[in-house]
Amino acid sequence: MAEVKLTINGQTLTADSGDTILAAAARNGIHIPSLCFLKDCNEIAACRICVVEVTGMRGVVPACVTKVREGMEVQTESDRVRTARRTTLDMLCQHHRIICDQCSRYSDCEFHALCREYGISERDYNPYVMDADKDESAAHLVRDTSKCVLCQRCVAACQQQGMDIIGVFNRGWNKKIAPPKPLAETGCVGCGQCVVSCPTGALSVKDDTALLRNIIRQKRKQVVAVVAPEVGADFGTLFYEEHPEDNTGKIAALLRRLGVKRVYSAVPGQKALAAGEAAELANRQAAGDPLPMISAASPVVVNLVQKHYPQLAENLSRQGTLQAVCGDMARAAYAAETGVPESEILAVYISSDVSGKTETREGLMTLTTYELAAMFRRACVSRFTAMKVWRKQLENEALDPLPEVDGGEIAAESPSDSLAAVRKDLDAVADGSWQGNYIPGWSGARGGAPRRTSGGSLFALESKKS
Amino acid sequence: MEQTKILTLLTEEFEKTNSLSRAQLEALAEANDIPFAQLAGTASFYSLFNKGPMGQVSSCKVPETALPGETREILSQPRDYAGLKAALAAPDAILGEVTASGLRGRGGAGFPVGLKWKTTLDCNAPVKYVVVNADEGEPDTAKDGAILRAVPHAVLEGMAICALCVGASQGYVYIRAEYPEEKAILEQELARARAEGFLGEHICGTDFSFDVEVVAGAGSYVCGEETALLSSLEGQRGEPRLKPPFPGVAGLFQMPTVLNNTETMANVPLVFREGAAAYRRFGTEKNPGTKVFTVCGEVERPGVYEFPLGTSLRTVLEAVGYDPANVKAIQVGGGASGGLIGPDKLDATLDIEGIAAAGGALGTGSVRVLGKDADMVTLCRNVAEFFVDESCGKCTPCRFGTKRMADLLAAMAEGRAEPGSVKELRSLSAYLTDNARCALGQAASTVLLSALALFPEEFEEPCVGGEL
Repeated sequence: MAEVKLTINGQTLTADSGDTILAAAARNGIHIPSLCFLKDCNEIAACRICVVEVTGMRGVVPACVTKVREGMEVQTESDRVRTARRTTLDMLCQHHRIICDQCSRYSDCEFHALCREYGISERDYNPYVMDADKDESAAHLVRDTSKCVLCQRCVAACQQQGMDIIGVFNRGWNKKIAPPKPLAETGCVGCGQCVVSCPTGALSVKDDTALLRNIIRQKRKQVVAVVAPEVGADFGTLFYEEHPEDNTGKIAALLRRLGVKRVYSAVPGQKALAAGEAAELANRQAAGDPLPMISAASPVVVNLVQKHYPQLAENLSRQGTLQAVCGDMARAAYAAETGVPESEILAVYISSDVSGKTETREGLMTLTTYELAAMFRRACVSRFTAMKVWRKQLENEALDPLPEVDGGEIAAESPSDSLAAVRKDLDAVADGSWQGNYIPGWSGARGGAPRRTSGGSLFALESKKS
Repeated sequence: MEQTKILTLLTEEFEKTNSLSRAQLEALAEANDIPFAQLAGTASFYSLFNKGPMGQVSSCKVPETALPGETREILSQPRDYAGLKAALAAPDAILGEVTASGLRGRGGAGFPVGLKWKTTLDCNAPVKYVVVNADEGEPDTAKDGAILRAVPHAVLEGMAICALCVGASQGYVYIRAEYPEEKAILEQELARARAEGFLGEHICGTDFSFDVEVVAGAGSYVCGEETALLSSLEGQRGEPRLKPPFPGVAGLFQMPTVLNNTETMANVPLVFREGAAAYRRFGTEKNPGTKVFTVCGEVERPGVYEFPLGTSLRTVLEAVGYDPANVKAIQVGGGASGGLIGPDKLDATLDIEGIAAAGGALGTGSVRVLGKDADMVTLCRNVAEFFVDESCGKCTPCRFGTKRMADLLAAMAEGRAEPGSVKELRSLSAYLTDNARCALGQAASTVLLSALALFPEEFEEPCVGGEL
């Protein structure tokens, strides 16, 4: 790509000719606020927050889609630009039901941060605010249209995942972003990418923290926890650590302080599941049962097959999901250790996979990393004290031992960040054209691309935002 | 399922029961393998499926006899496809001839047609399209409908010449939902032209093949915007796309597409019938040819009339028998996006530069006469409410700005506006022009701004309530 020279706020800098103003500015340390923009996912220039002034171009132009040109003169902080941004934000605020104190995104809201940056505060009287419009039908997600700022990031994310569950409805003032029917009745498999992409509290993970806290406080059950491997890293990103280290030890300490009796690793469960699947595969081959066998480790895949490929139900492994296997092992281990009957024990599986909540199972509950962080913050009063407690007061503690099953070195992969690719594979299986291998551990199906460490991470899209 | 058939599919389903229920849409999505959210989202965008069919917006017709001073060139072309025959004789000369004629787009922007065609001609692509914009959604404008009724063959002929020039093999006419009669006339002409060898395979015995399909919209003003029209033609919500890329390079299905207004296409055969030089005998140097105007408002003889470009407003008023002394203002260029021109500027000429010099825009070429007792606040309010209805809602400024503007003007019209309203209207207008994502939002404040400039006193007392 050719190199071009341009000036931003009088500062001369170079950029690639294919760059947008936003990208060129970011690379040179100049901050331009944006809202609807999500790199390679939603580049529709709809919100008009990232507008900048370019000499010779009419009006103000969106930096997220305007390409740089040789000799371009850009102003990102002129009065005209700031007034435009403030007016736009003010308009969005008038449409947005501001109940920050009761919102799932409290203290962690992209939209609120923007408003703070531009000095927009709640109005005394707002004739345009919407009434609460909640869809709580699904087990995993809650949608509240009254907090939606119509950025369409969730629509783009859903489309990119090959799902097309969330759509855009009506037009003009009546425009609405929603699934066309209650979420529970749609084909949503719970990949969670819409929640990650939402800049407000319009889409959030169903909050089970109050339920868990009550169970612990009222001693209704003995609670044990299983921590998925990605949680250690993802938890750190919640505290804005640039290079999140493995925080599993601190999470163990934290969970014990919250009243959890034992904290186990999910690795023995993963090994047990892999061993079970390997055995099942051998049995299937011997008995002539349907092949290829599709791993049911992730609830996303189970949902995908049940809702979109019912004809492949027989191909689904009968070993169950990873969280179910881990939950069963954890309860058995705690029962064996203490003599408490298994019916009195609740296993909490902690991962970054939203779809876990769609699986209902006796004695098992799932909690996302995000919810765990919220519980921690509440326990520490605020994010700031939480950060201090986290860094200075919590010591690494060891996990409790869980009897291991020899299953080799196989990491369970949660495929939710590549749902579209999984759909392609399933399509091929469904129409009989599948050419892949079904040997466990073989990773060449998608050209041997390196696996991400935290597959279905709630934070997978964070890195996409430039 | 061809995407261009989706709107037709929805319309047919709608017409069965005069409604579109969730169950109907779900069954339709299932049967045609379209995601339900996408199909339902598309259906919810269009007025036809939500408010039911709308009546004919304008009753302006072409009168039997021409007015004094009227020059019927476009509206009186014989049906002999002589222009196409001439073009087929020398296909390589088409672009040069169109460029030499100086023909400019008649949809509003006045872009040189030769330049537009050249962009698409220069593109290297497996498929190219020719699309005609017959989505005449601008209020007070009826000229495209009149052209389609009077000379449907000229539109098809122009399309064929254009296709021959740029190398397209498929054309579409996107016609507004409220023109069923015009659609039938056009389709009838289409069948006749095919039968006579002017369209379809091997046109006039040559190697050139080109066919046209007529697609009806479903009630949306913004679909008259070229990129929104393309989205709609592809069976999606009619939301404008980002430019660049322009349709000439990446248009329908991302392929190079010439997109011209109905009237522009109807001008093309004229250029080839007698040559570019003869075409230039009407109009001015920069604005050659004639133009079809819709004259309406307080005139006794509203209708669609054809005058050479460069005719003055005064001449047109006198031709329809309206006394220029009674004019309070004239809205030129469209009932929604056309600005007002004051009675002191009646000598402005009706061409792109002439109207621009008078502070307006020629736009679609509608001339709406406002008499002495016209109420500017009501006019602006009606326009603003129109835009609230028609905004696609994608960008924040247009979605909220048009609503806020309409609310302020409604309060003003009802005498309950708060002090500071005029100031807010002015800043809102400037903000919209600067920030809106497409021409709809940018033009939404045109009428208001011109009314505020010409008649500021009407927006003060007694519209604005006093202090409490």
